[in-house]
Amino acid sequence: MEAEYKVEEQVLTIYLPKELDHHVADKIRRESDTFLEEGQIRKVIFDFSDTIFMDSSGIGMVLGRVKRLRLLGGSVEACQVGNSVYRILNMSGLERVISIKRRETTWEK
Amino acid sequence: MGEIENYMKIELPAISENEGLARMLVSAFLLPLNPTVEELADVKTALSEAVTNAVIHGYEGRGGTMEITFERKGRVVLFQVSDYGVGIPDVDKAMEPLFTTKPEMERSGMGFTFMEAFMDEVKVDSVPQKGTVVRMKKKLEECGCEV
Repeated sequence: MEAEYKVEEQVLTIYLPKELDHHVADKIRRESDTFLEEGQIRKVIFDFSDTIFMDSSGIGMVLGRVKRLRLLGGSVEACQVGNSVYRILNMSGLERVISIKRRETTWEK
Repeated sequence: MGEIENYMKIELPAISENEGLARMLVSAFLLPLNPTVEELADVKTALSEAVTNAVIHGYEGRGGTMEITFERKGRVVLFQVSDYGVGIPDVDKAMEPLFTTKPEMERSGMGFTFMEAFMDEVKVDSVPQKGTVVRMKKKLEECGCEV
């Protein structure tokens, strides 16, 4: 259920949990910002491989990181996005703001 | 709307941990209707938004009691989320896409928009300093299977 983080040079990859709601989004916001405050990160990649649920709290958290990275002159990407999450990202217009790479398989776990 | 075939009424504290619990409960409640993956995602998202609103806005993170009612008749399902929190001064404004009173908490302002997008009907009754009731209704597609 916990998010996991990997830092490689200027890239922070956040492996998101199965469900991305307000409960976990708040925690990810705090945890990811501690990495960003160190000042090296210029790109954040949200990895949705394990994620099968996201609501508007997830959108808010992703958008918050987009704003922070813009101030740092960096960017945000989403990868391994499954169908249900893609629907939410798409409806909220995030596709116009960040690069979104969908999962190859159309199967939902 | 005639006789209810099944219902469930629960009372639980308005804490963020219970957002996931509410989604699990609605999944279990809908299971006998054999909903599609998309219908289940729709309902879980809408309910998650309503419950999150009660936690964040209704009680402003201080906790309190919320009640969730699940009902079904045939393939029509109804959900009600009630809190006894601060209420919403202007419901129409609150329901506008991207409107949020808590931008500093990184709220996207998409909560009611998702509820309306994923359910057939969403009704909000709110009285300042008394609380808020959100009612949602959705008719599931016929599945051609025995229920």
